[in-house]
This record gives sequence, structure tokens and C-alpha cells, in this order.
Amino acid sequence: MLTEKEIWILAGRFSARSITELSIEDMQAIADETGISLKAVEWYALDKQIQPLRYRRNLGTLGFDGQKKLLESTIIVCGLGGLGGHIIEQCARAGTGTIIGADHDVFDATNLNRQILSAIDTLGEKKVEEAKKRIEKINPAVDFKDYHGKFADIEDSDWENADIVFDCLDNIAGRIVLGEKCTSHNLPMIHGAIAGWCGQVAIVWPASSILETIYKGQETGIETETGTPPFTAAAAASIMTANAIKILAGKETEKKEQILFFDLFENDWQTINL
Amino acid sequence: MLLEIRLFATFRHRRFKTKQMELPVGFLLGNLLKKLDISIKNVGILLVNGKHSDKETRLIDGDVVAIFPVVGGG
Repeated sequence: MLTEKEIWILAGRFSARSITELSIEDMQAIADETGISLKAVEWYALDKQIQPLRYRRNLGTLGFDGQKKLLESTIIVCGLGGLGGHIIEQCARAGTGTIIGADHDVFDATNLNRQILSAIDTLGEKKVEEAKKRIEKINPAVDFKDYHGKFADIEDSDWENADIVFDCLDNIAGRIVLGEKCTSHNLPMIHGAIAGWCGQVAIVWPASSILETIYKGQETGIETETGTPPFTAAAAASIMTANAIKILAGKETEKKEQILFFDLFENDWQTINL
Repeated sequence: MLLEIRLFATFRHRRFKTKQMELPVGFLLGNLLKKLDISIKNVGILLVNGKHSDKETRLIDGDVVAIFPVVGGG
């Protein structure tokens, strides 16, 4: 995260007074004065047990080490619609260091019910562009790289640098191909899918057969009848983000072959071992 | 033989959540789906006693069958 020279500069800057917390303004001032990136300044502060205020409400859950690991992390989010929009929102707020987002689409009126990046004034705009603007607004320490295209367009170097991939696609064929891609790069994938009141989330570890098991021979799900309402998208996205952050922050080490299926109408949550 | 059938999500509409069913020993899971008027193309997770199974599975007394729809939206 930091070169020896940067550590020396920051050590000088931080030793001037006893600091226990850093405001948004303080961090920006240090970054501006030293020419060191905001993300690196945050990381250094966390390393010295200094709380960046923007992460204070994370620290009781993630700890200084977990927050540092999250800042060092790179995620790929495939699909920036109902699931992906909420995921980049949460990951940026949580302090995920680098987010790579891919979506070939622009917003239309049918997205407004659930896609958090869509609004009347963003109809017709590229989803990746709105994602970029949103992340800059929420947390400028986060690096965002956008691909206005399919996930197949993402460069090899980005797959190699990634720690985790989010499957936020809206079609089964694409999900299967993405799963294979993640296995080929030895990356865990967070799968999420929704239909009506129901959703499912799984951590798909490399070489796992979960997707083949649940989607064998299928082309579409019941979402063609039930649609995809806002609360289900937000719920699935939250579970996906929590599962990813557990791994990124070094809290989850057990590799379970599990899928969570939830039904918000019945308030029924089933954890299924596959 | 007596089976317990558990349906999830939209499969409950006009059917049931949980039901005990009496069927001949060795009844095929695929035939149970037909009996319930559930198309295999709509079935995602299909469990017998918590283990993923397919339509060729032969059921035995006391089996608990859980049927979930395919969910693919985003």
C-alpha cells in the first residue's frame, strides 16, 4: 500500500500531535499536502490504530486489521443493476479499496423500481458512468475502474489482481460462464439471484459445482413471471456484500458448499448444504 | 410409503407448504413433480433428505422432499 518514503512522510506528519481520529477534512488535507493517495493515508492511520471517522462505525465489526485488509482489496462487480448497484454502494461505504465494475447497459424506466443508481435524470445514461459518479461522491478513497461492456471485456490483469467477484448478472447462461471464468482465475464468486419475494446467495469457491447443480439445463427462472421487486434486490445484495466482506476482511476461512434461499413473504430462510 | 413434501416460494401457490403423501415404494422423483404439476424446467434446488437429487431418484419410505424454483434475476 505504501512505499518506505511515504511511510516516512506520514510518520512525520502524524507524530506532530497525538491523533486518535481523523475527520474527512483532516485526511484530505494530509493527502493534498503529502501527495499520497487518500486510500494510503487511511490505511496508514488504521495501521497506527487511528480511526478515520468515516469508518468508525465499521471498526467494532471489522477491526483495524479487517478494515485495512478491506482497503487493500479489489472486487469485480459483474452487472450494475438491481444487485450490483446496491453492492457497489455498500462496498464503497464499507471501504473496499478497488472496485471494478462491468455493465454494457444504460438505464431505462423498468430499472427504476429497484436499481439504486437509476433515477429520472439518469435514464439513458450508462450504468458504469453512474456507478463511477456515485462512488466518487460516497468515498473518493475508492478506486473505480469501469467497463462499459460485458464481463468478458475485463482485462486479464484485472482478474489477476482481484480478490473476489460478484455475480450480479440477470441471465443464467452468463452466470455459468462467469463461474467458469472465476474458477480459471482461482477466484471466489459471490452468486446472488432474485425473483419475486425470493432470492438466493452462495459463495461459489473455485471449481465448485453449485451453479451446475442449481441451474442444470435451465435457461430462465421464475423472475420472468414474478419480476424483481426492490426489497428482494436490496436484501440479496446486502447478504452478498456481507459474505464478500467476511472473506476480504479475513473473517471467513471455512469453505462451505452452501446456498442460502430466502422467501421474504414467508420470512423463511433456508441454508442448504450442496 | 409415506413421504413429506415441502414446497418453497411460488410452488406453494395453489398447492401447499408441507404435505404428507402416500405413494408406492420406489416412486420416481420426476413422477412426483408431474403429480404435483411442477415442470422440471422450473425446478432449481431439489432435495431429498437435505441432499441434492434429480428426477431419476427413487423415493423410499420416510423421505423428505424439498422443491425450490429456479431463481435467476438480478
